[in-house]
Amino acid sequence: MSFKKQENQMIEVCTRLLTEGEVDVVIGFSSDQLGGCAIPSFIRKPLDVKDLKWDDTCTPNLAKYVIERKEKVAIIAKPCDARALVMYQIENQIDRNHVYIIGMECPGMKLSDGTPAPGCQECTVRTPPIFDILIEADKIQTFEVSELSSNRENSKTSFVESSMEWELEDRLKRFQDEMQKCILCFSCRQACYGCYCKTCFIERDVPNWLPQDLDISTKMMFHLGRAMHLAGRCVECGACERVCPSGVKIRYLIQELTDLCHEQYGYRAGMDMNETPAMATFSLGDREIGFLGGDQNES
Amino acid sequence: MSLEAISKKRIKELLESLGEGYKLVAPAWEDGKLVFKEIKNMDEMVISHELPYKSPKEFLFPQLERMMCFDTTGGVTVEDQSEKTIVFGVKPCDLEALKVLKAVLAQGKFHDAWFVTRMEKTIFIGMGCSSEKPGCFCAQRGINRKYSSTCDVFLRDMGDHYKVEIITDKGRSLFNGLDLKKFKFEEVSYPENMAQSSRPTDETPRLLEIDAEENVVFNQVDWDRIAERCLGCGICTYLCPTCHCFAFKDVKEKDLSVRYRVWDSCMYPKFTLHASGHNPRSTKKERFRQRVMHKYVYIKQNQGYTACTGCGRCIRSCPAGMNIKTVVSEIMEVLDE
Repeated sequence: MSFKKQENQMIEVCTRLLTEGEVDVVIGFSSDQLGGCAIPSFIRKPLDVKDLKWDDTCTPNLAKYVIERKEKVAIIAKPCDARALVMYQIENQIDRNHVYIIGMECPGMKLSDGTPAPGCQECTVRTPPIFDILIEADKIQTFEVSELSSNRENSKTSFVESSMEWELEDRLKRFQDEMQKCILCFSCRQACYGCYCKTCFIERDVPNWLPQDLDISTKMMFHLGRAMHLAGRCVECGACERVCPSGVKIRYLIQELTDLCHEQYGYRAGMDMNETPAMATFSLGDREIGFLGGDQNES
Repeated sequence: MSLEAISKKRIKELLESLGEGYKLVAPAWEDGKLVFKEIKNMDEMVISHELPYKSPKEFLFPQLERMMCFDTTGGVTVEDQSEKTIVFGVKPCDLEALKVLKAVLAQGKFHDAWFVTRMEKTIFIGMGCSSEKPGCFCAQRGINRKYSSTCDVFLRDMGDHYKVEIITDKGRSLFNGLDLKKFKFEEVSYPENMAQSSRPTDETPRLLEIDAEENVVFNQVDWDRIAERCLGCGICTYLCPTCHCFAFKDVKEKDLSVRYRVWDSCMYPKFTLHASGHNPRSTKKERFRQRVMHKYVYIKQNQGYTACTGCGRCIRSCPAGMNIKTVVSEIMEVLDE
């Protein structure tokens, strides 16, 4: 029931914003008409607001539709969408005055087959860190954070499978097995909030980072390159894995980096507008543990 | 053409005998996804009504094709990596798509030698489809999901057995020298009206088709709004059974320069990027418009087919919920006005 209650409030707010001309467009979710997950929707007339919906299938991350937009927008923001918006503001991609954030408390989303969407099960953020108006969920619907943390630990264990303790060859094999499935359609990149470069490193001609053939090293280079670019920036929305048509489970790479960043530098992306991202600051005491395991300051 | 029947239980056995000397490709599960793949162990093969998430076009038109090598003395070696292949269990939507690929790559003024060679060496065994998945709209594209003759052999589902229809000489050659009695093939006489019964039984809805001047569709449709949701990945083009755009890539390998052909996608910004830096399709609006226009207008003008079979793959896999069926319906409404 709680979704319905939130939906009604959301519709009320959106109608007001459009009627009073406070925004030009509302970016939200609507039905895909096929019984699958909700799809992104762009509402410009108060009469169309009724098409908006809020339920447990609102999986898409909408933040990416906000950048490069000249109109004033309102966006229905789950915690992960809102974290992406925080990052956009830190990275100077949006004008906060032109974005009205309708924050939605979120209990986690599901895929069309009823299973939790990638990232949702272990997500510990249930309230958007930034909003202009917050639409709360009933207490019944929200998880206890302690329960979530243990979820996260479990899921991380099964996910990363303590891969750091694996032999190097096994780690490589696991990675290559995933890479074998990739068809290089770049949907993970296109769906990712963090991938907004005008020209992606793989599309640059000089130097030719990625020969456009399908050799497995090409795929490895693309995914490793993307992981490195997202180190300390991932907002854990799970879009990369959710949109992959081939079921490539690649989030574990970025999750490892995200956890590393949190453990080492106490930084989680998109939680605080005034915090400098881990990769944008440096102090001599920083530990340099990374992909290669090198750590000069470890005693 | 004799009408023969084979028990459903013995189909794998039959394929095993037919498959000698051929690479057998059929639907099989791979990490929870049904795909067309080379079958090494018959237990892997899945005979079902489920449509594999990728189309079988990659066996005629691979995502990466090694075409030729150049050496330092000016020598050129043309490469041919095709193998004799049986592609089994292809549904009518994917079979009808072969018409488009053939029209473009093998029947026009120029023939694509690599495609033609693969086509000659490949035998398609078709099967009917009984379940519509969400997003399927073959009926609205005028395709009969129970039958297609765009294959070499078609297995018609008759309940407990398949009726084997041999359509081409290539299909016939497959059965030559095979002791059919071993498989208890029975001669069955079917009623005269078989052909009619293959017509779609459901009410035929209005065909999804665009009949209008190119410029009208180009200019009168609000492409900005239609393309707003698109994220610009290439899933739709890679999973589509009729998409066939490609690029060349010359790669240096030791002393050779090797020319590869790779799939390309009209959804990517670099697809039409000119050497001058100008890009006539600079935003997703122009790119999505191109995809719809190519499928529903240009190929129809040039080859006589609409290059969409209603398989619904692009709809089911789109991360942003783009739906070519509703887009074309909307365009038809705009044109009706």
